[in-house]
Amino acid sequence: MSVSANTPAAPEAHEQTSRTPVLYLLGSGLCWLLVGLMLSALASLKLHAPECLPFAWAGVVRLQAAASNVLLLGAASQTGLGIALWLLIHLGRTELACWGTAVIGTVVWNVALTAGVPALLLGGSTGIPGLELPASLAVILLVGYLLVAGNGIVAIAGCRRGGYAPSQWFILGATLWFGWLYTTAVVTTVVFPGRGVLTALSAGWFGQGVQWLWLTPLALAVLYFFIPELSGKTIRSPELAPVAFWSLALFGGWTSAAGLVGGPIPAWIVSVSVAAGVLLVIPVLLASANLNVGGSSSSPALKFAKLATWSFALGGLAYAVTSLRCAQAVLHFTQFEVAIRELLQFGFVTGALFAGAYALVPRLAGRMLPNAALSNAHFGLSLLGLIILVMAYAVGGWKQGWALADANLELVTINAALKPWLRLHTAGLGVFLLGQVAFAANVVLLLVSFALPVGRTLVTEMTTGAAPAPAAK
Amino acid sequence: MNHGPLLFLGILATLAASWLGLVAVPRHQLGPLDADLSTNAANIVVTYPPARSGEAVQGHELYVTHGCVACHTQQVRPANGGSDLARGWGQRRTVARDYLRDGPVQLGVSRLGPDLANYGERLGTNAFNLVRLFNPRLVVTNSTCAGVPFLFRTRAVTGGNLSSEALAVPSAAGTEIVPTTAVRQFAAYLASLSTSVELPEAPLPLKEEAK
Repeated sequence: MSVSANTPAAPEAHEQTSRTPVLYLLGSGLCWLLVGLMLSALASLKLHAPECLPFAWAGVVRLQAAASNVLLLGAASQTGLGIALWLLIHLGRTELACWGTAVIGTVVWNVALTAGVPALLLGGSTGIPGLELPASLAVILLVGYLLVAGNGIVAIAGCRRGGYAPSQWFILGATLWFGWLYTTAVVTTVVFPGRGVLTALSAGWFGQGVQWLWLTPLALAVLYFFIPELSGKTIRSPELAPVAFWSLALFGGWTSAAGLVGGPIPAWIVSVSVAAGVLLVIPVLLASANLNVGGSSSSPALKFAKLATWSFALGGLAYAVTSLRCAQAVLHFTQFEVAIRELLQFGFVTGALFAGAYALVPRLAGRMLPNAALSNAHFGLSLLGLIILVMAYAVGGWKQGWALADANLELVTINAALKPWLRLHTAGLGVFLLGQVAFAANVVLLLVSFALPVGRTLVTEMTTGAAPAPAAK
Repeated sequence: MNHGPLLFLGILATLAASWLGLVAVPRHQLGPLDADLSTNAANIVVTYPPARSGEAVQGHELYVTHGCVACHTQQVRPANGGSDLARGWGQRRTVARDYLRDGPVQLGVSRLGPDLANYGERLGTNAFNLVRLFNPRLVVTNSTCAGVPFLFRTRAVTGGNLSSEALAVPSAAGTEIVPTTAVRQFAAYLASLSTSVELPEAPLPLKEEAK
């Protein structure tokens, strides 16, 4: 497949079944990305301008909860699952037997999230970090997810190719893990909550699990397929890919207490989490080595894939190093932790998913994204915004951590020094959002290019039908 | 990696192991933990953690719904884990037993504001606290705390004098700002935050005079 050509490769016949559900998942993922980033930017603004929007619905936690739920459960999960469905169809040379269920599932999923945003802003949160959605909506969302993901499992079971590609392992793992993680977490925190810190432990298990066993394998699945496909080079040392997969599977689920070092929980849980956090360096380095095939690239898909690979290597390494107790004593509770999280979320996961989207949308829609300048602006602004927002919190948070460690420094003094960095972060998020708007504009242009000929034909038919063209004299 | 069933079982086993280790076993270990008799700083035997008043329990719900957790933690780390004790945020590290009455527990992830695990011990008068909740910047210049101004009411002054419950803050002529029931519950919850009780698993440091 060549993306630099002016006409995209025609999809194979068996891929036609995936067209509607995949495009729907990608489109609704894009909408959630824009909504989530707007909420995120507002939350970031409130941290340094507490007096703006003095309303209960605009409290920092409400905005943050709405933003993170929309970005994780909406944008990243739907886009990721959409690309994953196509990958399974393509790699397995099979079709989506009942693709209608995937469409219905996405509708159900969107209903739950659409109700969830006002619910969270108006104070309906469960108060459990990462699992803020009210239980009723969480159940509806899970039903929607199972309907979509079920299609994927069926497609893997119906694989018509001897053996499985790395992308298929990662997708199978991710779809099964997320279903189990979400079900278990909702049951053990919202339905039958344990007393006191047990809830925090279950929530931590879910939060870390979503990062390492859901979003990471989904993004890796996209990169493991599209990087060789788009660059025309095979992945480096393919024999390391199974090690990367199994080490991620093994350590990814054991970092629950990564956010609770020094916290009120049994010491062994923290020790296990720290060890697992450090050991995650193995899958991070192996997968990055696999995917770093080198070469220059001009297509936006490859540029995003490279951004994702580097963000994964850098963010994963920083995560592993800052898991150590000595680092946690200084950097825990600071914006530095947020910087690492956002590098993985916006650089790695979002980058990988856009790599997939740039390669897939022309193939499924049957025509290229109309405006190359908008694509370039999308990548340029995303990269610039990402660098600003990550650097702002990394540098600001680093200074904040060392200042907090000095008990003689007043908190007001520390926060006054942090304020410019908080402002810079909001600006970075704004630039990043602008980049995504450029992409959305390109998609709108694509839709218009579909609608225009249809509309023109309709108008011509109507005018010719109502008033026949006057005979030429 | 070419056997579907093996792949499936491996995926199942890895997550099941982490669930067993980090969700089920902690439940087994911490589940039986219960409030019990302890000795407080003044050598008086008390039930710990104490049951909160109804007002404070409702205040906890407000603490959750208005999201103080965005900037405040409620956990004190041991001396080798940070400057928490040196900052006077508590007399000892916090342990699982301290949170038995909290649901959902608000441990927090960010310290843009101070730790509140022992906030009740550092509080001033009730009137002062209400002003702080209305607008933190009237108490601490340059505070970045948003406060909960929407939980206060502005009403017309009746009879020429401010009522006894009026807040000592600037307001428009002929009006006064008064706390609602909700904000009183909020203040009651904040006043209940305290962990300075000797526990077998978390002893209080030796008193200065005993050294």
